[in-house]
Amino acid sequence: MSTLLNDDKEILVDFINESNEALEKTELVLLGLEENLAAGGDVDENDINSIFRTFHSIKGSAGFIGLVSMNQLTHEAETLLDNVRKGKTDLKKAHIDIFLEVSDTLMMMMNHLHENFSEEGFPGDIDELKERIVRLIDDSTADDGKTKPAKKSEKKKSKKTEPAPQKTGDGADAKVTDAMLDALISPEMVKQFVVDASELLDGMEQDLLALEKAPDNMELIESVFRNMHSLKGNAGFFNYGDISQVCHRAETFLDLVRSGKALAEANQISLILQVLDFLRSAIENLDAGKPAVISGKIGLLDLMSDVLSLEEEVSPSEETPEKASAEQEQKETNKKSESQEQKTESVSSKKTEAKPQTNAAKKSRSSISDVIRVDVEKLNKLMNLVGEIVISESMVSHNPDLRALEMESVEKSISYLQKNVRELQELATAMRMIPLSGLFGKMKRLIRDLATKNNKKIDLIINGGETEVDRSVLEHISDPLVHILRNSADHGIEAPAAREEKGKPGTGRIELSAKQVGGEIWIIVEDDGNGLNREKILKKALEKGLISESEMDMADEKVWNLIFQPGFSTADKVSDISGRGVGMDVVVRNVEKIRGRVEVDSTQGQGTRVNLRIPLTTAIVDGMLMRVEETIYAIPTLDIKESLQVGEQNVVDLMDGQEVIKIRERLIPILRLHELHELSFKAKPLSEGIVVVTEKGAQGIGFLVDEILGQQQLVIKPLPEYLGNIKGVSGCAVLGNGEICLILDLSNLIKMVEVP
Amino acid sequence: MEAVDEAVVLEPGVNAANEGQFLTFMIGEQQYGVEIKYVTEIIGIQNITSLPDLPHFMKGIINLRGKVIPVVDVRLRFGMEERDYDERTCIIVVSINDTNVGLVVDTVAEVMNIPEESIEPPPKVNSKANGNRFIYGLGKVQDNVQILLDTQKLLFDEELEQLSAIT
Repeated sequence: MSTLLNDDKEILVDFINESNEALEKTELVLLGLEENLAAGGDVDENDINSIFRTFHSIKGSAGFIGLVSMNQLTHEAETLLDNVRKGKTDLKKAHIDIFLEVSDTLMMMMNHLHENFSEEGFPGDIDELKERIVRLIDDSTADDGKTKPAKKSEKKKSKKTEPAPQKTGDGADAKVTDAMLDALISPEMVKQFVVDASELLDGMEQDLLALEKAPDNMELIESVFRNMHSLKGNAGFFNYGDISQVCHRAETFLDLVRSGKALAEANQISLILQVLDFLRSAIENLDAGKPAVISGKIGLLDLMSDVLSLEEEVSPSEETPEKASAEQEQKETNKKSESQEQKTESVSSKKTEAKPQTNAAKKSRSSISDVIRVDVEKLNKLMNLVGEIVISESMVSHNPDLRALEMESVEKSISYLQKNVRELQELATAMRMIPLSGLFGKMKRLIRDLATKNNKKIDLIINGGETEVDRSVLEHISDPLVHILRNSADHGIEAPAAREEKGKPGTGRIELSAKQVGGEIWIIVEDDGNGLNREKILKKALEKGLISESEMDMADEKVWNLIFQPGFSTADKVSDISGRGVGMDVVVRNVEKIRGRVEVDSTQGQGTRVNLRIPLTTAIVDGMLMRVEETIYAIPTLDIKESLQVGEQNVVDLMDGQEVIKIRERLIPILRLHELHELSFKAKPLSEGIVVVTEKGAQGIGFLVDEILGQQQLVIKPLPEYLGNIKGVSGCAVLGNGEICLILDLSNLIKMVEVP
Repeated sequence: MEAVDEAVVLEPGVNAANEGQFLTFMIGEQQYGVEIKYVTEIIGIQNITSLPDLPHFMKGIINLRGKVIPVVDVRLRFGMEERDYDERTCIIVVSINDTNVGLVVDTVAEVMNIPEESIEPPPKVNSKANGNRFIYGLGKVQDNVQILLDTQKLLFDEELEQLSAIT
């Protein structure tokens, strides 16, 4: 029976995509082999192995999905190839011909599958092809035919133990060809394995978390089972015993659930989530070049068996609803295969009904997309190069000689160049964009664990996961998000009883959302917890000397910003102020690295809202240029509040030499870049320069500069690593005239001035 | 900015033929040499953007066709007296382990072949100059002695590591 059962369109399409890609490569390899053979050259073992792998993995997946004829065809081809591989027979032209034919047939089958979602009705004559392969196998093993039948029957046996056809086969193969497999596994393959495995683990985690809420959702169980199975298969191929053992045990359990013999209970799902963590750390080890060993494997396996054996005695009453639903689904799919036209529609509609939480990323995968994987390194290089082009463009367009020509044709060409460069820059930036859904998904687990630990009930609502951000942004907001969410879950959301007392629903609510607003991405975490306590924060700030008595009536907004003060948070780790502030300065620091900012808003008793505002691009900034002696500095225009000339009467010289100016009743400390950077020791009165006031920090800070040069788009470059960390400078940029300007690291500078 | 835009670009990378070849330059009256395989190009002195908190021999950064590279004044690195830059002052751009650094020297002399057998190990006696630790060997060419420098040490000596440990 080759109708598709519960496997949905998505898996199948993935399988088709992967297989087609592999088959295309195989075809090339085969053609290469043929050429080689004709020229009388030697057969490269790697080529044979790569073809073998392709057929083997198609066989495995086909068997799993239930594509019987494809499974059989690849099986025969694989057997023949195995003979060649093991040196039982020499590769002949006839072999290559038939492999090419197999490959062609497989591709046609893939097309057929893609259109019909079923193997049935495939026009090609597979049986005939199979027979011809078998004949070749028999020919090739005529000399040492003794080993052959035994092997064949063994393979056949393994095939009967579906749905894991490659499992037993792999075990046997692994023994025979252990050494060979080792030689076969290249570092790239391991890397690929790590990437795939991480994806699989992420997928499983998501599904399990969803499963916790809807334990009878068959689709989720199926999906977890499939992922676990693929992981097991992959690990088996690479001979990672620990991983495949653990996966196998988990798979067995999932199979019980899947077949309705057991119901996934909360503690079991927790266990599997833990198992995932173990697997993940093993894979991380692997990524770091260490062996994929799972520490505490035996204990883990025992623990899993305990859960398992319990499961086999589940009372029949519990299983009935599931079985029913499973059967219903089967019927549904059968119906589908009958009515061909409606199929595509009903599949997708069924999907949306059953899984309302399906995210955009998943959806986009379900159509054949022309996506290629690109090395991040290459993308980074491209991005750098684009940066260079932006600079050279500005060199050309600001070139004084060209300007002096005042020719219309030159102007035209330059504006054309500018337009193209801008487009190129946008495109290159877009290529590095990644949707936030992956990161957001990980937060589900965090909240779940925190809620369980603290006996709270928390709903995490995720919106806007499809919003895309630059890769580097993703790296930088991951930690801050964890901090913020942890604060919300730990200290914001109250215990259920306390919540009900206040007339709120017992289940707390945290909303994590993202959206694009103008040139920024806003990532908002909003909870309906206890909110920040203004009085306590103020009291604390007063104790710490961050504010003075007279400031006690400052605006809420400023009070909230106090929690970002370094020192404020460390003192509060012991926590009496509803705990907020733990690591909040880390949040700010990380977000500032990507030139974003953090906004907090809170209503006591009602909840807190934290907004991370991050600029769309991190590589290019709009900066204000200013001259100090010979050096040119830049401050992001966004951070500048005002610039002014100060009258002497407004300057206050504090005892310790710190100058402060008074602007509209506000006191702003002044930082002399001249002194900081030892550019000049000529003390110059403040009134002779221009003070640029920035917005960062609790009270802001003023920089004394000699001259303001104007505003410009700057391509940020890091300072050469060779120089180490430079105080107060976050990077530099090359200007149109070839000069270098230094981009000031405001938060760092402010700390230097503000810390008593 | 009176930058010398004419740059001498040399074949980058390690080349067997480069073995034993040294680019020599002058500091004061003394001729020094660096292995040519590390040298990527020679440029005239140009505007150097200074940076705070650097050891005095690190002059700052320059813009080399859009690339920002740090510049070390070899004179100061050797603990010699500072001297104003003039039109003969050159920056030798060297590249080791993907790190590009510009070396400011009084002037560039020539490229010369110094066979292995003409190179003597540095003197064991440590005299007043602290530059001794950067010496790779003494090359004898006719009557002249070339001080051949260990580029690796020149760029990455412990002093720098200490520096980055402090900051």
